[in-house]
Amino acid sequence: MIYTTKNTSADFNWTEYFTTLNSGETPGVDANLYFQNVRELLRENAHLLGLVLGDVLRKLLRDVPVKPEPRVLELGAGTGFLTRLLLTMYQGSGVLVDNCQTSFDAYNQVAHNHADRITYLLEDLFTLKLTETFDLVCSFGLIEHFKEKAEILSIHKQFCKEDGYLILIVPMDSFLTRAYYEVHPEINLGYRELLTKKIALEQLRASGLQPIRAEVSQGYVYDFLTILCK
Amino acid sequence: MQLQEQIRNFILANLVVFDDEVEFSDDDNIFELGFVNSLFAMKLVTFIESEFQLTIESDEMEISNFNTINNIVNFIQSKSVYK
Repeated sequence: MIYTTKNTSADFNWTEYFTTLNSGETPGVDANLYFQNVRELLRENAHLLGLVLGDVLRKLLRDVPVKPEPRVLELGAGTGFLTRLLLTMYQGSGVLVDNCQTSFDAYNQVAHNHADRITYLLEDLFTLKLTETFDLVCSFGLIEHFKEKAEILSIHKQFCKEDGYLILIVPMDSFLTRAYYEVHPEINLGYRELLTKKIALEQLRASGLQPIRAEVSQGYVYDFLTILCK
Repeated sequence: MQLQEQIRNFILANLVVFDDEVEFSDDDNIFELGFVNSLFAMKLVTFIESEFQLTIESDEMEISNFNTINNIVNFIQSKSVYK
């Protein structure tokens, strides 16, 4: 992408700029067109997400002694994208937990290659009863929906093995992420708190977790923060 | 086996559509065609690293390196030259 400057003087000529853009005689701003253009620029792309998330997970888990073929638990899993990617990269098997029927149905549409290695529990994670503990307990886009994070974080910890790890992924508070949610109001369901890296790490420590490493995604339509914890 | 053919075979082995529906050139964008799922890019990265004994760096994880057979082949060849 190359931008050429339209500014030839100290004062930018906004009237000329918008007249040219609208190809009309009357200067004006087509707010809807602008809005749709920005939405299109910041549109979710599952293939790009897979690559960017894979890249940041590799950085997050570099030199970390994750067990071969780990058992993975994903909380608030949706379609289990994070677990399916982890299994693609590290093999293993997993359990997804979500109490949303729509998410479960969506998972079944994409489960094919992993169906024999993934169990989906259509349950409320706050009343989850599992006797098993896991090598990796993870969530992607979950904890930012809770104002008080101690309880949801304790559930992550509860089902993690003593020598296991937690992987927490949240949208990061950045100019890009704010712009993304600004133009996608339809996905702002309920409470969503964007966190800076500093605040996220403070909140995890306050909840008794021990952050080991934090990495920020690069190249996606919003920024997300990935944190590895004990 | 030629590199192009090797990459094509890997893509064909990971299709999410029925084989007889698939027809694509070495310059077609495999992601835009919808022949592969959203996990495929990372699967391809892992395949390239193990098959060609390369390490793909973070700044090389660009979708444009992996979106066509020719781009994948060019990327592998450029890495191999500097290995």
